[in-house]
Amino acid sequence: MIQKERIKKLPNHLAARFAERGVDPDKIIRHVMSDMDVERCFVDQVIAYDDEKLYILSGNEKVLHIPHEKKLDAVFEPTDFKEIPVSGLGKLTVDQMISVGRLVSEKDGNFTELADFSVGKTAAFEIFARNFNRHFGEDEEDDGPIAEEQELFCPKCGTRYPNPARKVCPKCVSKTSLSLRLFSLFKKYTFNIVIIMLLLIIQTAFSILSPYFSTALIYDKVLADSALHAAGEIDTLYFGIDLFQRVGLVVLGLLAVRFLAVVQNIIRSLVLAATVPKVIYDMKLLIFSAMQRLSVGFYTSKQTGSLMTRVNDDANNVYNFFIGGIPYVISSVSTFVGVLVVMFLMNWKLTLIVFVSVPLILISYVLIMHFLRKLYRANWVYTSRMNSLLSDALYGQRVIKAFTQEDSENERFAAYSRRVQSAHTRLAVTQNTVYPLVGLIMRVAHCILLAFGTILVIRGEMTVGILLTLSAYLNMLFEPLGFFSNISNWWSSCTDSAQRIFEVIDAKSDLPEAENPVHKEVLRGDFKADGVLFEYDPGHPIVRNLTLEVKAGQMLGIVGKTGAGKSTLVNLLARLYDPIEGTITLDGENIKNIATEDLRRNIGIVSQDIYLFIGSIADNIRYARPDATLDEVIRAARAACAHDFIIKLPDGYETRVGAGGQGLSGGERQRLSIARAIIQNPSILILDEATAAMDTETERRIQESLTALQRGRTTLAIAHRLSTLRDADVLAVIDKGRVVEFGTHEELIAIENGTYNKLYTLQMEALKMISG
Amino acid sequence: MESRISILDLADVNYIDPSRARFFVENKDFLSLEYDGEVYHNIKLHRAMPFKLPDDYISVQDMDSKELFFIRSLYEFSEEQALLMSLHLKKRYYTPKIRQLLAIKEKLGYLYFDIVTDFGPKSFALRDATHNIRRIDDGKRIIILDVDGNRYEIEDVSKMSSADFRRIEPYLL
Repeated sequence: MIQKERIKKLPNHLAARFAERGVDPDKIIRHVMSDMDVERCFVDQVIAYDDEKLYILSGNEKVLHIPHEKKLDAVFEPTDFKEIPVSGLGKLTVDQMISVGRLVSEKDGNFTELADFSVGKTAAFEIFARNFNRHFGEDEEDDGPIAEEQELFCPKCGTRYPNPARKVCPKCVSKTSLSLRLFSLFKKYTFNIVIIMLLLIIQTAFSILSPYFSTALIYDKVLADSALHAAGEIDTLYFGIDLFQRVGLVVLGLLAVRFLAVVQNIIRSLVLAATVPKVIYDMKLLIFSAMQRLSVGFYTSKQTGSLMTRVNDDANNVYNFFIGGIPYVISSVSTFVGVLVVMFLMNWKLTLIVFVSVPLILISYVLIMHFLRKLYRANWVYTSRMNSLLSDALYGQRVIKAFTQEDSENERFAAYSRRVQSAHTRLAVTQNTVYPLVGLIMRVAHCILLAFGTILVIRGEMTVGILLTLSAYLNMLFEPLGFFSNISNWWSSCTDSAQRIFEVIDAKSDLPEAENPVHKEVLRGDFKADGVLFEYDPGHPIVRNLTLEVKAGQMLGIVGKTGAGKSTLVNLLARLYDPIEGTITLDGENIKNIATEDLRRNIGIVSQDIYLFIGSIADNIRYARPDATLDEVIRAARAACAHDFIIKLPDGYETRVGAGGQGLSGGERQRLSIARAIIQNPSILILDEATAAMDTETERRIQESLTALQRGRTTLAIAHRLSTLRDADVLAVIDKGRVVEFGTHEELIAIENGTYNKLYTLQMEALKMISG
Repeated sequence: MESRISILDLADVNYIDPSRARFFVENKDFLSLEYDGEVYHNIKLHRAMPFKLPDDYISVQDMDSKELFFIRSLYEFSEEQALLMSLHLKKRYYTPKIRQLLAIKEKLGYLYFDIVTDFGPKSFALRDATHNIRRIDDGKRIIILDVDGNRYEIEDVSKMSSADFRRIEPYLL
């Protein structure tokens, strides 16, 4: 089955340049872009071919942004053009070097270098070469389908996607829409948030009133009058209230303000306490349920690892900003504005003079934050390095002791810890130096206020009470400045976190459920794979052009070297991944159309890596069928030869396993996982090296139960030990992702120099050696 | 008392004998080796210690990356032969040297670099600065690995312009 290569049309701006050189762009079959010439200077290069020639057009590609349309246009300014007749070229291969690659033509043992490219372009060049070879018949062996390359750059702005598997462009992510979406997460709590905000504004009002009562009123309305009274200048009575009554009133007023402040504080704490856990719970649930939707592929992709560990921190980051940050913004802004207004009303001239210090302080804070961020980062990096060294050493204790390296580990730890300590000291010293300097600016502003204020008081233009109140307000005005200088950083780290959360929430499952899925209560297990191609990285197929058939009730044994693609093959059959090309059918139905729930219920997998959840052994066995009775659990354990070791454990079936639980050996864990598959009673059983970690005797015993279990069930079994597969109806030998031999044991053994034959002879000889 | 053989003596490294080897270039860019009269076409040299010892401990491999010989040091060879090999290595371990750091921007946890190298200007993205900006030897030499695995080198940070140094300084720990 020779599949024709796919045509990839030249974009317009390149097509025009080819046309200028007398090449019909419509006849170009494929092209690929390189980012360097053969001298490895960074230039843009188009390598393209038609039926007769290979063209290399070098130049500079300029990406133009079209404003308002949010898309890109490009121009290509050519500097060099080369044509090579295809007749002079042989098979194209990609020579992957360490940090660069080259496209090489090989003809009659002669190699010619055609183009160089940086590592990121490797997949594109591999695909280009395969298509070229296919087109010119240079590729007799490889007749599998060819995948298409992944888009690496954002089509809107041309920025490189940091992770091409998930096309999120850091430049095009709109912060506004991100913020709106972020706010929408908290929409449910609008009422609570409004209440919290209102109470915060009330709190601010109280805190602004407080100094007025405690200074202005006491000084101007009580003390000042009492001095005048003593001098006999005024009467004791003032609107009919004497001085002592006035003291009482001011104190009462002050008490009332304090009391109301406490009441609103309690209410606010109660509302917060009722809201916060809900918000956290909802957000974590949202992320967690989104994560459950994603396919295995999402979890195995390398870049996801770090993403996953961060999701928890990210949720906290966002939550902290909303619950801690936003209310603080409101109270800081309202305090700042409120105090400023009151100060202006009291004495605008004086306020204006001291206000000059505000921008000065703000700038100092921004500079300090900029400077401290470096120290914070150093502190963070060294601390996390020390922590990873610590966990490294704790996990590696056995090795450390075996090689008597305790002393050197102590030294290593001491060195790391010294670095943390010095980073800590530097941070503390800097903080304790720079913050008092900012304090100095504040003190100077304060002195200016007092100096000018006193002059005004002497001149009789202002009362003492007002001066003292202004002085108290000045401190309140300075308080939020430190926070303002850092708010933008806080906000940007919050939006970064939000982006990562949305990335998980928005990630589309690679294994979408069909729109109208076919429901099948029981599947018989007729498997058919036709021309299946699968690859984790483009250009590196793990399974290629694979075609095989297993009839219902048959056992298929899969044999092959490590890395041949055996596990990937069974993962494809179980639809943990979808093939990139080709189809897999089960009972005549494309597995993509079968309802995922039915498919999963009918397939039991015992894989190489066994995961036991935190919980009892019984819970782990009945994981897929929580309603299974204890009798069924014990019977499943017996069938998997697990009962004997379980019953010896002090807590029997109630023994806690998983993280922090009872340590079980590899063989014991495998037996639990077999029991887990058995209790599910699936129609299709997948055994991926299910008995590899067991001794021969246990394996034989399990084999017997498995054979009983396999009766009437389609079984796909992978094994290195061929004896494990002696009951297989058909065997498939996999090499480099293809089925190279397929048939019964007798048929395969009959192929002289066949892979199976060799493997079998090798294992038999080894057995003879042991027994002989 | 009979002295025991060290296990290390049993393991054999196929060190090349420089007097019997002749490296030569075919078709402009392909390195070949003639050893005791036998010719190995299109071989490649692979460094065992690419950062610390770029000229020592080099594996000579065939097209399928199977090791044929092992070189202790390029300095064991004639000047002409050593030059030939170091040109090949330079090509294989293509690492543009950063002459100017125009900008480093942090976006969504990734660093975006705009640089000028000895091979021209370039922009690239970098993930996880702690692991992908590596300080070599005494910490003056720096190797940066971008999201694709491309390498860029700063030969000596202490010789960078102060503006450039300030840009990269937060990531040099």
